[in-house]
Amino acid sequence: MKKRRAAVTGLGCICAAGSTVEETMRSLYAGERNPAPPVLVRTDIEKISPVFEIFSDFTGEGEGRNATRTTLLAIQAAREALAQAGLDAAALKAARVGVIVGTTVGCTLNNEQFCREYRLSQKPDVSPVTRFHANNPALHLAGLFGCGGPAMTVANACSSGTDAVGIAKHWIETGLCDIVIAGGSDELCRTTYIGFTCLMITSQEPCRPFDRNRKGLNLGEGAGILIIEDHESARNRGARALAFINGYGSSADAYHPTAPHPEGLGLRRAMKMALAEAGVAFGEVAFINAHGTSTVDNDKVEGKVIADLFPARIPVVSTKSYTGHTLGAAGAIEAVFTVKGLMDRRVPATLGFEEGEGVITPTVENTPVAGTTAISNSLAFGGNNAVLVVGMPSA
Amino acid sequence: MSLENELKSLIIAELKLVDIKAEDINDDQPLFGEGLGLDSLDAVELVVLLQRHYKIETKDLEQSKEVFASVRSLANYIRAQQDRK
Amino acid sequence: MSCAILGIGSVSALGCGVESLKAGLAGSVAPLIETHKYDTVFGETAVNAYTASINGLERFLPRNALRRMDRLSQMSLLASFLAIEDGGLVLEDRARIGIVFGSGYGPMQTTFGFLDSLIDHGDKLASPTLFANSVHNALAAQATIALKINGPCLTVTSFEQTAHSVLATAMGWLHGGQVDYVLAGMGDEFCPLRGYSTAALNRGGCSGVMRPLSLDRCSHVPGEGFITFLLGKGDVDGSYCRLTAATVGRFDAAADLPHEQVFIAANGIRETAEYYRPILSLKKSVVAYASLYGGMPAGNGFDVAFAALSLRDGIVYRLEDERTATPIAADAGIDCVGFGVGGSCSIITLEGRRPVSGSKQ
Repeated sequence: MKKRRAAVTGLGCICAAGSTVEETMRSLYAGERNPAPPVLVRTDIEKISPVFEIFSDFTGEGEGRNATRTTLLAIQAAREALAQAGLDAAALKAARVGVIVGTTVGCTLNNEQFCREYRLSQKPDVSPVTRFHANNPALHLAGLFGCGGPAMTVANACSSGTDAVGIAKHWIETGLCDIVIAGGSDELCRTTYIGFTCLMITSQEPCRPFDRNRKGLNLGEGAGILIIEDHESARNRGARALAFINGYGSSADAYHPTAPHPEGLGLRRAMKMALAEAGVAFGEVAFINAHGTSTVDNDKVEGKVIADLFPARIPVVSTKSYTGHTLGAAGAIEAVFTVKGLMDRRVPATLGFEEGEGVITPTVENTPVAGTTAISNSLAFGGNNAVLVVGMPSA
Repeated sequence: MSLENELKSLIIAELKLVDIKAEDINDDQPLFGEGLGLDSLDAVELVVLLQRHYKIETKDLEQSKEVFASVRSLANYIRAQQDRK
Repeated sequence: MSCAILGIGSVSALGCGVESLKAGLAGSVAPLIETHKYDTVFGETAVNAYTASINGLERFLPRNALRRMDRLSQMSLLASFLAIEDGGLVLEDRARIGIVFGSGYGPMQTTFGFLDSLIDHGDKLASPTLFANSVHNALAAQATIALKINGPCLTVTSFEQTAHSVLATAMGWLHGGQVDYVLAGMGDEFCPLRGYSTAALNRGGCSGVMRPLSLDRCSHVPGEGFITFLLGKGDVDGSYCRLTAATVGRFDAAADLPHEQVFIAANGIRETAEYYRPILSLKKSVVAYASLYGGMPAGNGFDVAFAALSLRDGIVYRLEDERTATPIAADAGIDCVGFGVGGSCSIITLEGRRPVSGSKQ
């Protein structure tokens, strides 16, 4: 039997850099970013860390009054991706369609008002609980689009979006689904903002991935969705394969609840695993979309691993310098960027970078890339490492 | 109670250390690594502890390594900060 | 693409360890159910809830290693240690072991604990440790550290589809060759806010005694617990049984159940009760065990454990009215069926071990 392949037939993305994939890529190649003090989040923390918020007017019209911002972001990105893939409601009903979405905020009942009222014995209304039940991202999308296959929300912290795309690949290859709506979504949330501030890993200045003077990350929000499809059935319905998800690696550091392993042992294993699955050598990789959060620890470890495993001149980009860290959405948004980078044969500059630590130098301008394979890294709280290998269709 | 002993009790309570009493901690024992075995997550919790109980802000953990070395260095730092006020 | 259930670790209101489940089935142990009172707009409302017993974690880890772990983490870790112990295997290559955990609510108590800390002390002085522990994958992360597991690590949350997501992922990993073994765990914890929500949503209209097969009335009682399976490839001597399929979809479950014996995850919630009715009218043997473990989104993971025990021991217990035990063939199959609120259905199928023969692959 012919091996089933996971083709990417549609892309969708919304983040601070743009409301569609094209708009976002324009910002990236133009080197534009607009981190600013948060509007959605109110806090009495005086030292403000800038964030990458979405200001475009997305109302989520007709998507139900009870939908959360995280759900609405996912819906918008999914509609864009489905339109590109040429899939309408009838097509989705007829096929075996799975939904897999990564998130952090979308699966957490962190309603502060409810908590405050409960503590004060004010008998709060339980509508936040029912709203929470209605907004599991994967279940919500599956219901909205009438998908009958598996619906799974991935809660793997900051690698969730990458894991979602990687698992979608396996669902296609093992024949569990013919089409998967895969990605991640997260809104900017006050609880998360405070949490990251307490952990002392946010920066009060715009982030500068891999720079020696980096002070931490900036939070962002957004959603990225990829339509992953069995290549043969995509071809049979006349859909074009933009790219393929050829490899996925996942590995646990088993080291610490929040810090990465100092030698990046888990990341090394995940990268090797992903490349082995794709049948690609380290030297064949055209570029790396790094996790590159701009925290002291992440960039140190990730830079070291990349420098050890790859040829010195490989372009490395951190697109978080345009989107902020969108947490559960990050891996999915960056999978979209990785596909686009291969299609456009260039990757954007890593903004904010001035001077490295003598380990790696990320892109400092739009950089042409040659080759048909690229990888995207994610590292997460809890020591999760997830890596995707994306390939172009051979001519 | 001396500031040192007060700090020891606070550290045990707020970092939820078990099977150890304040008198088991030596003033000069390293808090991190091989000493008391605290880690980076404890370090940020210590920052919150200093702020909650002594109104002392820590701006940068990298630059505060010497302060966070032991109970004695922490106590000295707190006293110096309080004298300044 | 079947896999073998090699070990089971359970932490529930019946106690700890797989034999506590057996004792619950046989009726020699009753689940621990406690009554909590909540002040709601409907007045003071009593809510019964299943309370898990977490005993013996010190047997596996020094107490200091547990200092930052919340209740849900401790339940998941104990269940996982017990699953490995129950499997009786020496797990050597820790990079070839995967962990996939799932829960409906995640560490909800710690999530609220973090909110408490910022309400009590102000935004600036909230606890970073509580925040780090409030993320859904904190339990799996703690488990990888405590068990020194370096393979793939994943946490999923899909309410009533959680158990299916966990087991389907584990089967996919084993089938795809990424791992040799998987620890597949799922569960949820009870906390005051779940109790309050139950009280406020039930409006006092629930009996407080779980009767899962009485589909006409609300009998939901919230529960807690964690169940971990140690899964391996193929058909292994000494295993409980085989896990042969995990399917999900919006289909007519009643028409699609391949086996005579069906375990349903009905748990006294009216919203899903109707979906189970067609199954009860089939000429099949249908049982429900939610009254042993309590109501929680990932609860049907416990049904899978009960099915594994039934196939190992050749006995199926019925709990309604009078407790009865009927034999089940060693090579029989059991379908565990669960419905989500939206009507999507998951079927997890277990089959007895194939008779040992020379033709085994």
